[in-house]
Amino acid sequence: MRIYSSVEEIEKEAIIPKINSIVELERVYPYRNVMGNYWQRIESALKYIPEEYHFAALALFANVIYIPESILTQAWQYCMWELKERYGIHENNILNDSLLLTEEVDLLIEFLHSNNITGRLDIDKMPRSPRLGDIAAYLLLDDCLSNTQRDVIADESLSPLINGFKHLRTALKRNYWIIIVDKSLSGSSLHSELMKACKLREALSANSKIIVIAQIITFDALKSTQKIKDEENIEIISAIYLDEKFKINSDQCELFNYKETHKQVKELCEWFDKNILSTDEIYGSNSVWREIGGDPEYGLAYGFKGCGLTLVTPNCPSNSIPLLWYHKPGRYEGPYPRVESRTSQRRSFDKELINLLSNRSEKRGD
Amino acid sequence: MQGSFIEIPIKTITSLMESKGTLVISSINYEERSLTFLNSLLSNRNQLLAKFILFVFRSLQDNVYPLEIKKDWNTHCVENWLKERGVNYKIQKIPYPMGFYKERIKSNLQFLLQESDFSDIVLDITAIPRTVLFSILESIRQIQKERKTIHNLYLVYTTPLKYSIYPHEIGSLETYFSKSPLHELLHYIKTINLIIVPGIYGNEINVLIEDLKKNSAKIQNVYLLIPMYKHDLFTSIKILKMSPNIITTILSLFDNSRVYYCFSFHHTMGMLLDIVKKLIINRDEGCLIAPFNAKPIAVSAFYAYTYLTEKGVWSDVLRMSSVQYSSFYSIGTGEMFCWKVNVDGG
Repeated sequence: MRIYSSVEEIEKEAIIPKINSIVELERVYPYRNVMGNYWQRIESALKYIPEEYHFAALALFANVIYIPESILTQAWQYCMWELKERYGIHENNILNDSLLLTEEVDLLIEFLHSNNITGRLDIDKMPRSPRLGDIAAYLLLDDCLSNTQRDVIADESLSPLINGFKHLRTALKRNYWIIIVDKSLSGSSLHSELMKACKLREALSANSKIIVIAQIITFDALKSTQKIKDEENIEIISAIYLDEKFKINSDQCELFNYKETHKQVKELCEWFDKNILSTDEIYGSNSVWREIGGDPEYGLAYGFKGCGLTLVTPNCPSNSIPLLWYHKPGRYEGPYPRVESRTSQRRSFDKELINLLSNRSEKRGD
Repeated sequence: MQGSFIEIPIKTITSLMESKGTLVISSINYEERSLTFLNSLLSNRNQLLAKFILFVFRSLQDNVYPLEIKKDWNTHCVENWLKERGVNYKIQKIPYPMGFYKERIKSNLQFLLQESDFSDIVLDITAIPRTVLFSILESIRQIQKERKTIHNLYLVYTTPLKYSIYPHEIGSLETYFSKSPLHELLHYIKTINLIIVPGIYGNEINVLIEDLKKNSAKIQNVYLLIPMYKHDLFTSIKILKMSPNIITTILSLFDNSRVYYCFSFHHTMGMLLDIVKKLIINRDEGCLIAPFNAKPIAVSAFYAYTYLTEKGVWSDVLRMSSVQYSSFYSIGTGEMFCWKVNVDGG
């Protein structure tokens, strides 16, 4: 296989040391389910890319920001350390002083395990679910139950449910609501979580301080949450921050030594979307993916929601450039294949549940 | 623990300027960032009653003309600002690196600190060379031990926008305090614990690994602290690019090696002290700290060194033996960081 790129080009973008550093990092922390080292996987990807884009592809691959599991685990430890430094929240009191909230239960377990925090399953410490929508549903159920129904339940095996309601109401009065997020890349999910949390806090007339802890956050995510953060006095603690310098589709991008290289990389991304991705079953034209996460002008050339990142985590995020993660042998083999969590969109009713709870509270004059 | 740090906002420091009990120590050189802190104080409308002592370093020989011109201009600007604001200041010219004697700066400082009782010291470490910085920290520590008049020590550090591609520190590795070349030291310290924070140029850590490979000293534990600073992930990532195989080399060479990732200066400073606190060192073992990263880490290394030394454990801090002035070292001004240092060990 020939790589169509000159010595001058390779040198001017320091492609060899940059790729070597990723090869070495992968030697210690391998990317899952891939064959061959990074150089070999780059070679496989280049087979599908026209020669005129080889240099741009190399420059893109050389600027991957590889954050393996081990760094992410330490990122959780750092978030805990910051909670301690800023708010005096310790490993041994976090479950008593704070209410830990997250969309994914697995994230909560990861955070607690990374920090050796025990007691996650104690009903007096943690609600049954850390999801805001589920909490709202529990509170609504609690609100709806009449005293007669309560007596019936208390006599039967469902009595722990009544206790659970009591514990949940006490937990919601804790000083801190800590929202756990692994990565906030476009910021849209974080923004919606913050809206829900603020609405719920208001509905319950709680005074808890909302703190977000995230392993990775981007410039886009901070920008999209800035308003609610300022208005609601929310604190965001993150371990890794990717500013605009890391965003390929930004004029502030500093990943490349030369502007011309940056321009060529953008052309490659757009070529890839037009010629490979747009004809794909999942990501192609008229797909739900493209409808939700695509840009009207550039489609999915710069990844989901146009984040334009070169970030690679244990499952390469869809917000990163698809040239990195799209992998269908025969069509294109990206060096960091991604496993899709879902291929269809699931409708969440969290917002409606929280609104319902809020309306009931208003009517009661809480 | 003595030397533990609390990150504070700049406004805490600004408010100290209204007191005659505050001493500001800073240094002006050819870098733009050497003026940032002073400029921020002087452009503030607060009353400036604090005393300022500003060091300007010039070597007895081999000075580089464009750097000296820029340094003179920067000094001239600061002096004008100070005069305009009617500040009580003193500019001290100190020979460095050629002609530098740490005892001289120590006695100067001690004289100054004895002259009036300063309760708060603000130390802008941005442009103070590490050797000088250690001398200042030693003096402050000594005075605190003898007279307990210094209540608070504050650190200020300004990052640049970018570093030059040419390293300033070159040569072989030696120790700050015992002033021994590392390869010689490794002959008589038989068992060593190592704490390494790599720098962006990569040369120091490669020299260190080569010295260790060639020597027979037993390496008990190695702690490699890799910066992933959120204030400048870009520069942090360069560390791995400049010496791509440091992690694999260290993990393969030393059995008891651990890699930690640090997400801010403050985190690294705290982690370094934490490692030292938890380190169980036998009588015949020593501890070498290699803070090749930004200057705040060197301050943490100083307190780690003093902690171990006071516990009767042999310890020292590594540095490169020579300096070359081949660039302005940094371009522009980045972020300003401030810390309060626990000086009394409470």
